[in-house]
Amino acid sequence: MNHRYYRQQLSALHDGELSSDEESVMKDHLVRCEECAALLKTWRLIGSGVRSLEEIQLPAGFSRRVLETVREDEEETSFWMPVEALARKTVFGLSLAVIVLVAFLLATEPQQPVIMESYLSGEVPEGNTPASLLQRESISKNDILLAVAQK
Amino acid sequence: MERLSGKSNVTQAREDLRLIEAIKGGNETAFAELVRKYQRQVANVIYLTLGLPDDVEDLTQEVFIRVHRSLPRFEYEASLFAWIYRIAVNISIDELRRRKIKKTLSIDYFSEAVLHREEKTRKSEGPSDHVLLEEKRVTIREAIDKLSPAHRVAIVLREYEGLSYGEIAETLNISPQAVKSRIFRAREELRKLLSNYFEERT
Repeated sequence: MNHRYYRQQLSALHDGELSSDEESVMKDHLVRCEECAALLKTWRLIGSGVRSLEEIQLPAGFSRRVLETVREDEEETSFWMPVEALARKTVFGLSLAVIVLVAFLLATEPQQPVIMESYLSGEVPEGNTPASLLQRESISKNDILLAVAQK
Repeated sequence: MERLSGKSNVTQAREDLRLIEAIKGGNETAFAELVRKYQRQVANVIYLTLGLPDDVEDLTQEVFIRVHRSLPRFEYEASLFAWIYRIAVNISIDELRRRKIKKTLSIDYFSEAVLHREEKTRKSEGPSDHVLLEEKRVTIREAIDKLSPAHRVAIVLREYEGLSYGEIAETLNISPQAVKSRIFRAREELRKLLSNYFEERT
């Protein structure tokens, strides 16, 4: 076992964190090793130094003030909770409306097979020749498809 | 924790369980009792981690507000005090990072901690024993401040708060072996930092 191992074990011994077997191994080592004995002494001094540090004092009535802040926090939360819920519902409703609208638009878009069927059955509206389309003010997608089919 | 309360862990756990259930049931008196029970430990962990008394009261308050908000979801996977300590340690480390950024941005930064300690030493000038004690505290504090946050928190929880390795492991959410290693390294660093101080006095 190297010396670093003993030093780490020594730290645990100082904290009372070794098993009884480990403790007796370390105590045997301490009798033989002056360096570890000196180290343990220094750590004890450091420990007492840390424990001698001043405690910070909280003002009297601290718990009462915390309670007041917690109440304010709860009131604020209870005020914003319905607003937050409403915002969530609105976002959900709007998203649903957008989905329905897109689905509706997709469903109502003219289907190409219907146009082709009307062309094949000879039900092509008059004036749907490419030349006549150029003279019209507005042209629908159907008109173009029929004109292309005719050509 | 025995050093803090003088009560056994079982008694402590029972008391905490009673408090948690009462707070979950909306009992404000129980929450005030919990604050009173842990406020000293929380404030000192924050103070010793930050190295300055500034904002300790506000940050301690923040810990308890967070405890109150999160308590309904507390699942007993850790003991109450370890869970509270964890919140305190996280808040302290966040504050430490925030201050580090602030100091880095400050052009004429002069250590607030050093100023604070100098002022305290000046105020404490009086009977020589007291001056020596204050000098020792200042030296130890400065050495602790030089440790990394991880080592600083570990040594404070062990030496100042008296927590066992198991309790520190629970608080920091690390293994007891990692706690053992951190404490050992923190001690080694402190020994090197304080070598002159102790040599002069032995």
